[in-house]
Amino acid sequence: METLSNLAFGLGVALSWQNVVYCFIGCFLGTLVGVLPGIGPVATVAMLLPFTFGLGPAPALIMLAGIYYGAQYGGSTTAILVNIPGESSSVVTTLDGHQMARRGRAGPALGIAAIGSFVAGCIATLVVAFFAPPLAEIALKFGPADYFSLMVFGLIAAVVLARGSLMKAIAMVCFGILLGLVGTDVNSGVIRFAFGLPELADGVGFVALAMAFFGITDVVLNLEHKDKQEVFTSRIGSVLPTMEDLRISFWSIVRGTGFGSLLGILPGGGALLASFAAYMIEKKVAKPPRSFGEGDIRGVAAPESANNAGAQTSFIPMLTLGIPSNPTMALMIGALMIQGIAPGPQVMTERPELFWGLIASMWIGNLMLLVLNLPLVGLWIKLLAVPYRLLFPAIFVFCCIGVYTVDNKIFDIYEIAVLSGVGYVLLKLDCEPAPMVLGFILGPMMEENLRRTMMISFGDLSVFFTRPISAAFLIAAVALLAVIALPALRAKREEAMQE
Amino acid sequence: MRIRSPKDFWAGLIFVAIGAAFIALASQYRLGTMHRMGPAMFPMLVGALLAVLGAIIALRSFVLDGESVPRFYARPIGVSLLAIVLFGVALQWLGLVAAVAVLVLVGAWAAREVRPLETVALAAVMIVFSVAVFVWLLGLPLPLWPDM
Amino acid sequence: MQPSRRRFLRLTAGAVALTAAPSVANAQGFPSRYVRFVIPFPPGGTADPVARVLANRLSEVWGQQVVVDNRGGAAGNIAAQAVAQAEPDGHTFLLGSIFLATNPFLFSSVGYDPVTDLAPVTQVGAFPNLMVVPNSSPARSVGEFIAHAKAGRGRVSFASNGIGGTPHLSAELFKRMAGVEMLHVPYRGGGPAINDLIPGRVDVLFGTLPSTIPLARTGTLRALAVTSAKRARSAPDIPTIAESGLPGFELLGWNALFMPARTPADIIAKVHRDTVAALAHPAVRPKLEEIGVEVTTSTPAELAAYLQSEMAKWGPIIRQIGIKVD
Repeated sequence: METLSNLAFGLGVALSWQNVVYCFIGCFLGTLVGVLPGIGPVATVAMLLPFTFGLGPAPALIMLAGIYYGAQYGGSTTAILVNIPGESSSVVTTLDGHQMARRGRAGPALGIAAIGSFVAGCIATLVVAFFAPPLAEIALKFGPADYFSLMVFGLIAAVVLARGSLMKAIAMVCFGILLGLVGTDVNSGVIRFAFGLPELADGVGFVALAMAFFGITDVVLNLEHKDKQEVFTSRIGSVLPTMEDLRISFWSIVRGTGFGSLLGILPGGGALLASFAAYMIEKKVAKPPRSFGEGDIRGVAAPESANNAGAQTSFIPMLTLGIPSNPTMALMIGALMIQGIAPGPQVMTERPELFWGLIASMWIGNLMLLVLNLPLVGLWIKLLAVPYRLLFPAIFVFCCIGVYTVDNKIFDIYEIAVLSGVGYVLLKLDCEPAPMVLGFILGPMMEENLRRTMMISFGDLSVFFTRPISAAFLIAAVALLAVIALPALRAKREEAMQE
Repeated sequence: MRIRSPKDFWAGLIFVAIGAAFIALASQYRLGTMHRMGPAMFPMLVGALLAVLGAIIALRSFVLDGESVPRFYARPIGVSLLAIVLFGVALQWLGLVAAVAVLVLVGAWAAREVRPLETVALAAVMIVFSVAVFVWLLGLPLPLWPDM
Repeated sequence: MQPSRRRFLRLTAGAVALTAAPSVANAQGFPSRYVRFVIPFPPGGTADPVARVLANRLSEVWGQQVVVDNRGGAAGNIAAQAVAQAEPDGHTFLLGSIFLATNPFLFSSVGYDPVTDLAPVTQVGAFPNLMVVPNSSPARSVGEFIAHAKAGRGRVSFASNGIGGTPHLSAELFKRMAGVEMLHVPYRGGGPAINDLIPGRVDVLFGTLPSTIPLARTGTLRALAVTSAKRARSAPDIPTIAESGLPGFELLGWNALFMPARTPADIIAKVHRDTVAALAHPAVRPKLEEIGVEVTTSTPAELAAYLQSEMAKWGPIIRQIGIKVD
């Protein structure tokens, strides 16, 4: 009850003219930055930091927060339209989202992404309001052993993303892990596989990898089709999702929101894990007929809801304990400190207008983003009507500039070229990029946490099984393995029996 | 013995090669023990797994029927890679305007049909758009012109 | 700053960039176009706000946009290399820090010479590290911690934000001077380290002041001491390690402004004057001190000497620990 009155109070704060304006600016910039591949919310928040000094802490935080979750809305746009994940959490959206676009259903895809994100954002805001402190405690309970087991579970689940051969998917996961290991090894400080190039000392860039494997190679493969004139069918369906679409997606959105809210609080990789866990569960749980990988709308609704819910709940550790769960939060903490506010548990009681005003503004922000994005759907669809021969050079330009903006290194552009070459060969041989990307992100984290667990426990392996969270994930991983392997085995047995 | 599934065969071989390469590269780092793993341990394990998987996939290709390797067209991938590399070179020495121009003008040739006038117009549009969004609106430190 | 002013500045930057007047290499017309302020870290670290606050003020003073150029990578080597090779016309700055002194010993080659390829201008700020322990720790003072570590015989662990960073170096110096054995558990950055420190999975962190002081103030972590020789101005109630039983212990993280080596002396002098004035400005100084950075300025000669002394101090220690990055 008290929370409700606090929320009402927060709403009052958030609805002041100044805060509404800054919320809008944040959401707008966030969407823009999310759509543009390469530059992300971190860089934008960093750039706008000095401009928040003249503002009070409330409008400053509201604007910066808007940039962050606004970017999640924007990231799905490029994933759906041109198969390029704007943020790492949008990788999963490319799987069904882009397929929908190819079949003339880009509008419903974009629409359901926006609607799903909105619903998820609203629910997640409530989660933040009511459950922030207990959820923060849970986040603290995750130790290296638990993260490791989570990663193991995640990697095994990565094969679920495979549309084709299981073995090749696992191989691609391994390839992704190896690529991810390039760079500085946290535990020993040694720079691995960098061939003496300082630019590789921090590893292969995710942005370069995603653009190469999802963007450039996709373009090249499209250009090769001599018989198909246009990539996107000219028969455009409805501009927005139909009532049928909404009905089908309802539970996907709910499930996605659930996963996102829970996984978002985990520092490091929470949002990515959320979107892809949601997709993975959806694939197994959604009622048939299923067409995941071919443009099933639930394959867009679930991950998009998950990553937006995750974006909201990732504020929890920052707001309740003053711990940043990702670099953007670290910058916001910096912004608060410059304003003279020490983030931590006392912010809720000493500066309630800040805490509740921010939470209420997330609602308003989500509403603004919905209003901003839905009309844009019509605009984006028109973009797809542009002849491909004009569209693809534009894609090249955005990929190349985008990757440069990450760290202002020319090297990154050459990196895209090399990776595109590799990607081209692999994709031609039907090796899928999505499992590789997951291996790329999760693999190094898995190694890091494995070695760290071993260090902290002084070589005691049992810790993986005695810690409840870790044990739970490992058991789930084994179960998942069985679930995946069993049908495959059964199919092979039937094959063998028939011969 | 006939290769029944060329796609898988070549994919398998590539995986074996990549796995072996990483194992070889990792050997220069310290291996460590199981409970104090060095930087070489994990890459070697994963590299080995990859090589094994690749071998299985390649061997399976003799037994299972699969698709043949699709045709590799030189032009789309070749021109695209060239355009991207030239973009990098141009951005470093000539600035953003020249780089975008190069990327569009060269990259357009990756497609089957090229309409020169259209391409030039597209290049102009992309230049204006890139400068407006990345340099003016977002204020990113992209050099526009060559340092003379 | 109002958004309209921000937009105005951006348009100015764009217009100026478009006209691309060749840069004037003398203090008279300096700066004649936008200035590139290279930060050796990706956005989101401690250095970022420092640089942006300063850049903001200098933009106002000079009427030219000072653009922050984040060039993270290789622990700062990429940024330093870029500035070392830049045109010495005064329009490129580097925000250097302790990595300039330590990287030459960690890496087999860094690609630049921190002494001869970079011209020192002035120190910008200094911040000590803070020795923090979880609230569940039995130690309430440095002395108690040393006793606890000695009794633990190597089973006490310290976190760091990466090999070769100041938390790591502080801990190594501490181990040496206190005569204790501690296990090093490195993390990717300060955030994850703090996540394991709070519940007590690791025992101590010598974290950067800006990232740990808020947590110490709110009681989420317990602060034992600072690593500087004198007490921090922003935390005068926290003792130093030196006065808590290890006299002579000192580690100070620092940020300083550098320019390419052959930049004309009069431009360096002008930048020095203006930067020192900017750092004293009421819009700048308090903000930096809020995040725990103590504004400190110096002459180019003083900075050069400081860099040499840092190299002389940390080189032998790093060699002794035997860390080699590549």
